[in-house]
Order: sequence, then structure tokens, then C-alpha cells
Amino acid sequence: MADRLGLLRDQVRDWAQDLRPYGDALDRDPGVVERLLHLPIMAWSARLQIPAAYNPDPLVLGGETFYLTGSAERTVFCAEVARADLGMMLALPGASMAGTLVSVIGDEAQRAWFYGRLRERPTWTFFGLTEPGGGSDAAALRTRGVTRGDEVVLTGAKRYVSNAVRAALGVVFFRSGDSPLSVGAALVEAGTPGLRVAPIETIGVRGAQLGAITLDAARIPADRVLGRHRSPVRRGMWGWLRTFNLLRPTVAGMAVGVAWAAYDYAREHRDALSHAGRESLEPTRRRIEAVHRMTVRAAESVDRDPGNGAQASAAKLTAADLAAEVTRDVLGRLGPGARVEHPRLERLARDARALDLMEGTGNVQRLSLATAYLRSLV
Amino acid sequence: MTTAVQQDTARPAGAAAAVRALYASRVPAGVVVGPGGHAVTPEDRRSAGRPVDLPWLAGSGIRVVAGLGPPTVDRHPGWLLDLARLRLGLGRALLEATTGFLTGRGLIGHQLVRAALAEVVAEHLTVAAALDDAAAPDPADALIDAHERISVADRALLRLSGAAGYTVPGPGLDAHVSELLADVYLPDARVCRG
Ligand SMILES: Cc1cc2nc3c(=O)[nH]c(=O)nc-3n(C[C@H](O)[C@H](O)[C@H](O)COP(=O)(O)OP(=O)(O)OC[C@H]3O[C@@H](n4cnc5c(N)ncnc54)[C@H](O)[C@@H]3O)c2cc1C
Repeated sequence: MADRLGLLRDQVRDWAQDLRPYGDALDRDPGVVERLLHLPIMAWSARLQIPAAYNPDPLVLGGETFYLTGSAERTVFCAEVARADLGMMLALPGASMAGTLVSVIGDEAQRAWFYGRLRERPTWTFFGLTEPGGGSDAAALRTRGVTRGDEVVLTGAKRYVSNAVRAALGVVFFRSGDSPLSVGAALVEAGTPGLRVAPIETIGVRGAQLGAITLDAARIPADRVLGRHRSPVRRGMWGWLRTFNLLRPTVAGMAVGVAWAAYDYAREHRDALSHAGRESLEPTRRRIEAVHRMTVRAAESVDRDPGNGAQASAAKLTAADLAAEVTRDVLGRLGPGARVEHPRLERLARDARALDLMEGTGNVQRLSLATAYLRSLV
Repeated sequence: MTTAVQQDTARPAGAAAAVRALYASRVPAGVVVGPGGHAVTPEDRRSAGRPVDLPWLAGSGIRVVAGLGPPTVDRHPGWLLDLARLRLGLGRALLEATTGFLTGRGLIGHQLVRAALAEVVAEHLTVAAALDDAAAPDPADALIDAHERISVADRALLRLSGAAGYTVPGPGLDAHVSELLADVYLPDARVCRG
């Protein structure tokens, strides 16, 4: 890893240690995260992920400046926090996915408003794309946005939206017509009349506190529609494909972090490993190392060309499988009843399952990667 | 046959009802203790030991207990076979639910989806054949293998269920209970491989 990213990795790894003792509590009560805002990792998560033009207060380490806006920096960050706890990673305040979309397609005023809000205080944001009818075919979304004067009226529903319950603002994807070009996204604030959020309980990553959002003729100012200054092509598909390309390596990074966490656990609990479980962990370490390297490279490739997400798909697919595999392997090494005796690992295994789903399922990545390969994009 | 009853119980009624029926027919009192000193029981079964609070299991009708001392699973001949049948029943129910879900979403026609379903169907047939022939002493390696393959099939189905298979309550919950049963009662470190 380049020295610059190594500096970031070491610092985040250090900060993330503060989160580990709270992972179990967060799993039981998603509200725990709101009581941890004093931790440096929380404060920096909330203050970073904001582009230089809007952030006078970046992170400086060893003379290097980090805004945590590029995919590689974010991937390193996510991997280290997930290595401490994936639930916590997904529960962090800050610009997060919504911020990436705003940076890709938002206009000057929208960026200033969004990042300004985030700089006021630690703020959670949401990214409302998936709908009750399914998430993989995002272009088929049904939420409607109808312009009435200087307002847009949103009607529809979103599901499985991370942090929706605690977020103060976020983005909602909608369509204003039937063509693929009519898909857009808008900035929406919690508390908007007509917008309701209900928590959805999950098996793992319970700290992320997913939510179901209902939009019942929710009115937002028309100037909150992202990318109004762009052509329909550039504010719709073009923008969100780039956004997803930039985000995908971060989920791969989280998956690598989970794989490392399971590996760390096995090393820390050597004495508890069953006889059969003592077989060398070295092949596991090598494999995680290899996927980690590939993931960072994928992030760097997206930073160079956000239009090409092929490597990012490969990283996401491989890393999500790896996380599930390594957590299972380590549970197996700990012998009968490992899920009962080793609650942290039991949680890791539940958490790992989310990774196949987030940011495009395994199948979606398989299809994208094959298509990209056939087009010589990888 | 008791075992057939377990399998049938598992299909319409879910994990908690299946575990309850298995205990009712096989374990008149107390609990079956796995090799690590743990038990998975219906929630109203009394036992010594330390109740384990797994947050995702709250309200599921399933109770997990640790610190129960020496295993008693060997005193219950056929327990691992019964459990395999129960778990296969749950797996088949999940297969049906997942197929219904994918059909409802209009995803059933995708070849990747069909391929994954076919793998699961083949796994289930293989496991069912192994269980029909499970005359070997318990716990035989073949039986342990069957448990592992049930877990492999369940995991594939959970992936096919998307986020709907990750909610509580939801169809994925029984697969997690099923995996927990294997974790607690199977004898060696191979439980979660595959
Ligand atoms: C922890 C977590 C956090 C999340 N956070 C957010 C969030 O913040 N915002 C948000 O909008 N969403 C979020 N999601 C939702 C997530 O993006 C969706 O779960 C995902 O896109 C899949 O959609 P789905 O669950 O509706 O499954 P579906 O799209 O219904 O897919 C079901 C199955 O069919 C397969 N499939 C679908 N289409 C095809 C195809 N063409 N070919 C082959 N197979 C196919 C899928 O791979 C999957 O296995 C989150 C989910 C989780 C688990």
C-alpha cells in the first residue's frame, strides 16, 4: 500500500480500537452509537468525507492531507473500521453514500447546503434507493416525483435504508417519467411532512438500523433535485453509475475488514481452537492479504476513472465471499458451540452476510464484471 | 415414523415448532446437551445452565443454554439424524419460500438464479438420499457431511432472498436457527466448512 494510504490506515486502525468494546452493545441497541460521538473516530467520520472546497479542517497526518472523498482513502478507512466492527462502520455519522452522490452530481448551492449541514454537528445521512419491489434493478424504481411550481412532490416507498431512522437528511431516488432518463435523486430532510421512517430489524449489522421510508406526497423545494444544472443524461444514470463505482470498493473494503476481524479473532483465541482447528491460518492470511491488495487497487482504479467500475465489481464480489468464508472457517475451528461461546465471532458471521447484498448483490457484480470483461474494460 | 413427522413439522411451521415437536417426541424431560455443553431447546424447556441471549433470537420461541456440563447427545440415539431431517425440512421450506419470492419479483427467469436454485435442489436430493440410508452408527461421517451440505444449500437460498432474507422476522431466521442447531450438536470442527 502506498505510504500515504499507510499513514491513514495506521491512524484509523488506532482510532477504531475505541469502537470494539461497544460492538456487542450496538448489536442489542442501535441507539448506542449516539452516545459515542465523543470518540475521535466518530468525530472524524462526521467531519471528513467533505470535499476540499467545503472543508477547511481536513485530517493531516505526517504532512499528508486527507479529505476522505476519494475511493481509495475511503476504502482504507472502511476496512479498518470494519475490522473493529462492521455494525459500527455502518452506523457512523457523516456524508457517506449520499455525500458521494452530492459530490458527483450536485450543483454548487446543493453542495454548499449539504456539506454545510454536515459541518454544523455530527449528522447521519441516508441513501434511499432500494424499494419494496426489489433493489437489484434500480432503474425500475417506482417512487414518483411530480413538479408542482417550485416544489417536487414525492410519493413512494424505500426499504432497507441504512441509518434512515437516525438521519437528519439524505437522498431519495425517484422518477419523473417512464423513460430511463427520467430517474433522478433529491436531497430530503427528516421531518419533511409526508415522510415517515420505520425501523427494520435485521439479523446482522443491527447497528446500521435499516429503515423503511414512506413518502406520502412529501413536498421538497425543486432546487433540492440533484444535478438540475446538468443534462438529463448526466444527472441520472451517468451520475449514479459513477457514484456506485466509487462506493463499491468501500464495501469490498468493509468485507476485507470483516475477514481480518475473524482472522484476528482466531489468533487472539489460539488456546480455544479445537484440535482440527489448529491447522495453519497462514493460507487464510495470504488470501485476505491478496484480496485486500486487489480491493485497494480497485479503489485506485475508480479514482482514476470513475466511469469504469469493473475492478470494483471484482473486489466487491470476491471480498464479500471471503468475509463469509473466513468467519465460517474460524467458527468451525473453534469447535462445537462456537456460536454460543464466542459471541463476537457469532456476530461477525451474521454481519458478514450483509456484504453480499449491499451495493449490488453477488449476482449483480458477476453480471457487471462479465460484461465489462467482454468490453475489454478490465 | 417420528423422523418423518419432524421433517413435515419443519416445513409448514418453522424452526421453533419443529424443535418443539422434536423435543416432544424424543426428549420427554430435560434437554439434549451438545459436545460443547450447550443446548438449543424450545423456549419453555426447563434446564440448568446459563441462558444465552442472542439478540436476533428474541421472540423466536427458541432458547439457547450454555454451561450444561457433559454432553448427553450420545444418550439420544438418532438425535443427529433427526436433526438432519428437521434441518432438511427447514431447508426445503426455505427453498419453497425463496422460489415464491423470486417468482413474485419476476427474477425467476434469470439463468444465474435458476442455476443457483438447481444447485440447491441437487443438494437437497443428495442429502435426502443420504438420510434415507443413514443406517450407520450415529454420528457417522456421512451424517455430518449431510448437515454441512444442508448449511451450504441454506446459505445459497439466503443469498437469493436478498435483504428480505436478512430481516427479523423473516424467512432467513429459520436458516440461522438451523445453522445454530448444527453448530451446537455436531461433534467436530467441520461444522461450518464448505
Ligand atoms: C445491511 C444492508 C444495508 C443496506 N443499505 C441500503 C441503503 O442504505 N440504501 C438502499 O437503498 N438500500 C440498502 N440496502 C438494500 C440493498 O441495496 C439491496 O438489498 C440489494 O440491492 C438487493 O436488493 P433486494 O434485497 O431487493 O434483492 P433483489 O433485487 O430482489 O434480488 C433477489 C435475488 O435475486 C438476484 N438477482 C436480482 N436480479 C438478478 C439478475 N438480473 N440476474 C441474476 N440474479 C439476480 C439477486 O442477486 C438476489 O440474490 C441495504 C441492504 C442491507 C442488507
